[in-house]
Amino acid sequence: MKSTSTSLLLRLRNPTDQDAWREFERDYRELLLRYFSRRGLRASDAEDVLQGLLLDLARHLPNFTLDRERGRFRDYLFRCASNALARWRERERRDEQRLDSALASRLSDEGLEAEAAQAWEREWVDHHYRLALRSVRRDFDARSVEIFERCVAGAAVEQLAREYSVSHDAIYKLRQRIRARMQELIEQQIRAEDALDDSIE
Amino acid sequence: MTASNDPGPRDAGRAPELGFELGETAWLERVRAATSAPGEPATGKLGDYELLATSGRGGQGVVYRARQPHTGRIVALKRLHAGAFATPEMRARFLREVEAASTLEHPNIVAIHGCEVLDAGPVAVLQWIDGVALDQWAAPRRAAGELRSIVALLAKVARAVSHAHQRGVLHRDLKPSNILVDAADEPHVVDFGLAKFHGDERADPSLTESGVFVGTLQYAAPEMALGRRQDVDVRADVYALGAVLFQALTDAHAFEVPSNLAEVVDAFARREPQRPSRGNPNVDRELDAIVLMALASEKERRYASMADFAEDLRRYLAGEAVQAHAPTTRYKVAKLVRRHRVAVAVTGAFAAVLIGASITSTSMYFAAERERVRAEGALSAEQTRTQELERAQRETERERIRQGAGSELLTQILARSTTGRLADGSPVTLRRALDEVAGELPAKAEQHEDQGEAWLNMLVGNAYLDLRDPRAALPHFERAVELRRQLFGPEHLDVAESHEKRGRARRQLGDIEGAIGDLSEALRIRRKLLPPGDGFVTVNINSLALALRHAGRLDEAEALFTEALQRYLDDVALPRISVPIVRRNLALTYRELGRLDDAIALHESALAHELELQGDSHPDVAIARVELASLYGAAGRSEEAEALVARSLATIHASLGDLHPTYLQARALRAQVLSAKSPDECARELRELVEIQRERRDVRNLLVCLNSLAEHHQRAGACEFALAASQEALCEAQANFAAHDALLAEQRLRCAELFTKCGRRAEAEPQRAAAAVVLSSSGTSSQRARLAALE
Repeated sequence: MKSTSTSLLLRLRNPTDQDAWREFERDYRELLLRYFSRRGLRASDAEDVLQGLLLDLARHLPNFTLDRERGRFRDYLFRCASNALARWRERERRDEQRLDSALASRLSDEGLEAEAAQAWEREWVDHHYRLALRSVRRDFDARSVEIFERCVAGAAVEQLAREYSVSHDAIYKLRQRIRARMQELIEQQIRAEDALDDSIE
Repeated sequence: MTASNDPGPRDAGRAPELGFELGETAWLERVRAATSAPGEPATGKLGDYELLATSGRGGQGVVYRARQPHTGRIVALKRLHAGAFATPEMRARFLREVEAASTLEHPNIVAIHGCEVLDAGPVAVLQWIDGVALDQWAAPRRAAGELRSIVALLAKVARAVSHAHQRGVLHRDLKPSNILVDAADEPHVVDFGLAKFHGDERADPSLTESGVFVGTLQYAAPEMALGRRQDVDVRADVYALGAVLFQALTDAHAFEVPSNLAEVVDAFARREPQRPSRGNPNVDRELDAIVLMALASEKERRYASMADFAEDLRRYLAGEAVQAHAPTTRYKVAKLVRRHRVAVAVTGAFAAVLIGASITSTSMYFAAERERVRAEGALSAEQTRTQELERAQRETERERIRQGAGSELLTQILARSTTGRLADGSPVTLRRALDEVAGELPAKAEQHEDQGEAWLNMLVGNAYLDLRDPRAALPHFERAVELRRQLFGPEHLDVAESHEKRGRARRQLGDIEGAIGDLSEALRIRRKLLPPGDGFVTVNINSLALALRHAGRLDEAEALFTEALQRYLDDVALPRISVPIVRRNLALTYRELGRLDDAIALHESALAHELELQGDSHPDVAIARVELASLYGAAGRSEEAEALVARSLATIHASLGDLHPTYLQARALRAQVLSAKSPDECARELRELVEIQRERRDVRNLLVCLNSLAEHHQRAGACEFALAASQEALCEAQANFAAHDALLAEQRLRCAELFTKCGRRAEAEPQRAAAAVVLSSSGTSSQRARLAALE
């Protein structure tokens, strides 16, 4: 199965496909920013690092051959992100005047590498949740989405049932339906992403 | 495809945790975690807003620079915590906070244009400021030794925050990144009223994820960090700004947060900051004193208001003597308590209990008041709070403190204090500690004729009131009223507070007219000085209405309850539970006014509402049922009444005990309902209740029981018995009430009615005439109608 996202990742290898880049940025920007923020960067610094990373990707992705031994696209992206982060930290360390250099050096400790991988994994899964939710927002009727999002925001089933004049059961069913759809979408998305790995060979 | 399918990782060792196996709630939480933090595309659109750039400011999460549709105005958009909109109430409350904050107009406060829901999440629309965070701005100036320019900037910030406080808006999360400084060195305070709704939940994950605390620990006052929400007032902002000043002067945090959460709690309870001059030798003694006063861990030792803090900074810059030097009376008292070798832990607990019970004039935050309103509303159902004393005194003090203060921390400290001893070696109890301080007060009076002494009297009075000893509390409130009137003149919020408290004490002591005088005066002052919708005014209206109803001044009570109800309905920040309570109070007033149908309709809706809010087994709901049953009984709907009472009796007995006035009232009610079906049992039960009430010296309920007994005999045709009971009631009323008391007059009226019904008009006349003297001028319309019917 070829999904939009597969073709997007393939299209990225064409440096003249500007739309592909815009789409890629739209989809992955939040993942990367959130990951950087999880690694202790302030939002403005995260933006800086992201800019450098996107430039790197634009330079390398078109003629890059992913080494299967080294993992999938998400692993590739993680390494790119880690490298961009390391470069930025190195620059920060040289800049003695930075107030938060202590923080930067603490975070770049070798021992934190496992933590970094874990943080990446978590952000990567979150990213797929968000993409799936975006499809759900598009595919389900507005009222269902609204109810589901209120569930997510913590509203009680009883209250929603009362407000929307539906049965408790209807709310539970709706939740299950959207959950099942999201999980299905996430699997599709991940397969599509992995398909890029194959195509890169 | 199903969720159980393997997503197909090639190296199984690194299969990602997709969360598909999570339980329902945990899964929703996962979705929320994935979607709640900010991070929309920095270009493109958010709603109709055109995003121009992303700008991170410290730990604030992502702020977008954006162009507003239609106006083209450049604004800052800030994503807020999606949970802020989880329920309609939270949504309304949020919008109300934003609205309050958006009324702030001050050159040093970043304006909030409003709030919108964009992409299904709440977003605040703010004025765009080009500036740097305070810490960045301060660093080069500190390095150059320009401390005065830092102090001058902070003084501006303090005045801006004070402006907000005067309008009832607390910041709650002041920190360097929330103070932007522009190119002209003007500070701009960001995020007023938004602290609770920030999108960046992860700023301090160890605390925020457990929901303990929203904000930044380094700048959080102890009461805030420890989650004692009822204690948070303007002085939490004073503390935070003190911490910001400390850091701007020294480049170090005033308080380093321990990494271990257990240590945090302990550290916050005990911390005292070092002098800023130890971190930066350019800081002089005055500045040290100012910072330390702002950072005092007990809020009583801090500046009482942001305006005081600002004023001291101004004095410092002008070279005048600063307030921070002189130890205040409050501080002296703290030392006094210590001198008495009360264990330190107990001093803390002691202060917390005392302060938990007090609301200062500067506090516009009335979380503490909410509990009180609730308690008062619930108790109003009993009508006689005083009689609870005996029962309450049987409980141990610690139990009461635990119930009253409700703070887990406090309980912990108290648990630790079990080894504490007073100077004479006796065990520490709150009551003992309180008596010691109270005993010292008169001796100190001539030395401290100042705000401090008034404050101290309020503190001690409140504590006694909390321990349900209004008699011990009253003289302290008397003194506080007197002192504060001397200090501030008759019209001042502090004077109003003292009047209100004295009113409470007087009401509990049965001096209803005195209470009405005090509560009216407090209300008059507050109506004059506070904005029309202020919560204090609402609470005050309610307490005055209760007192008026007790005094039988029903028309006035009705008008005020009606006003209070409208205000509770209009102000979502006030506790929802107050709405049915005020409705019930209004319904009972209708009943006394003779408008039984209105009373029943209103009470039924109140009960339904209360059930929804409290659930079926809550004692308040049982009390409400008894009230409604009494209304049904009065309307002759005895079957419904009986069913309701039966349902409530067991609940009330279980939760309140067998001598609780409410339980006794419920029994009386059940007896009345039995009147027709089993007259003997009814008479027996009422007679037993009469004796119990007589022994408890609960005159009001004694009269209720005797009158019920009289009515019962009269219905059964036993006029002699009926008249005997009625005259017994009259004797009790004469013995306990003043000659012109409305309740005595009511009793005379009842007597006259009974004599008339029994065909003994001659004996009715003198009682009618005596009642008429009082009631024809001050009585209610229904009483006047009853008088007229007798003529």
